[in-house]
Amino acid sequence: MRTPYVLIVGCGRLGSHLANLLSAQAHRVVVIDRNEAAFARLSAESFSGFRVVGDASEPAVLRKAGIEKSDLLITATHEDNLNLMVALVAKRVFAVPHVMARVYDPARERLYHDLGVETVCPTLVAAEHFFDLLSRAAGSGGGAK
Amino acid sequence: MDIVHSDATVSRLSVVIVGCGRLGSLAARRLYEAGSHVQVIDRSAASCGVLPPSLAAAARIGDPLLPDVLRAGGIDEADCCLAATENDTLNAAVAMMCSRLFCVGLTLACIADQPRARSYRRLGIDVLCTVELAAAKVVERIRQIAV
Repeated sequence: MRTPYVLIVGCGRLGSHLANLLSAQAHRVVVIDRNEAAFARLSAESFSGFRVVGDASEPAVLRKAGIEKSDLLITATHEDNLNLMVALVAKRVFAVPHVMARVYDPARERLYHDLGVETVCPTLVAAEHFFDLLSRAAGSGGGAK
Repeated sequence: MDIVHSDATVSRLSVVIVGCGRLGSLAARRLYEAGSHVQVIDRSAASCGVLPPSLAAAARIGDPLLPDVLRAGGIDEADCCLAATENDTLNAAVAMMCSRLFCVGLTLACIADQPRARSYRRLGIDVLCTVELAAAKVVERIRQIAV
């Protein structure tokens, strides 16, 4: 398959890091943010995608960013509600094949899944990773000081 | 929101968690449920309200940069310390202190900002960068889609 076209909504810590990472891997990436200054987080070396300034809850902004040809959209703004709303528009109105939303509150993941939106919750991912590290430390005799 | 940690050896560990926010409280609860010895330190008693009652009651309230507070939280006996306050810099400082001063075997600083995580790693601090981990998860998902 050709490299996926990825639309990232929100150029904060997660959005910008993801954009830099994917762009460096030769993915086609477009980042939307309301605030042009947020694009300063994009790396001059690794990011070669497109930037769109605008409110992603406006379908016109999403169209301008190429939502109709995108394979995956991820919402990573600082507001869970906005993330959910944009994710739903992407899913229901534009039929984007894969839609993910960053969720701050782990308790809300279920709701997103019921609505057909995949989630990534940094708290849960970090907790899983922490337990992996702990198990490894315990397994290698680090426990029972 | 189940976290797989089948490894029963975790239950033998003694863990100090500094900062009772989203990650700190989740990790504390899971460790407690796994049977580990876990102790929470936070600047505010109110944040510890989300913990299971016995953990909340045992929580130490105070400035985690004060050695006495860390000692009261059982840092001398700890196998691991997770610094998970909302403040990246504080987490790095706490992790460094636990590792250098108290010789805790595994110290982890939760760092939200990715560029900062990189520079702390260069200082020899073990970092748990939530943004990197979340991004890795998305990249993995994209790889599955692209196949």
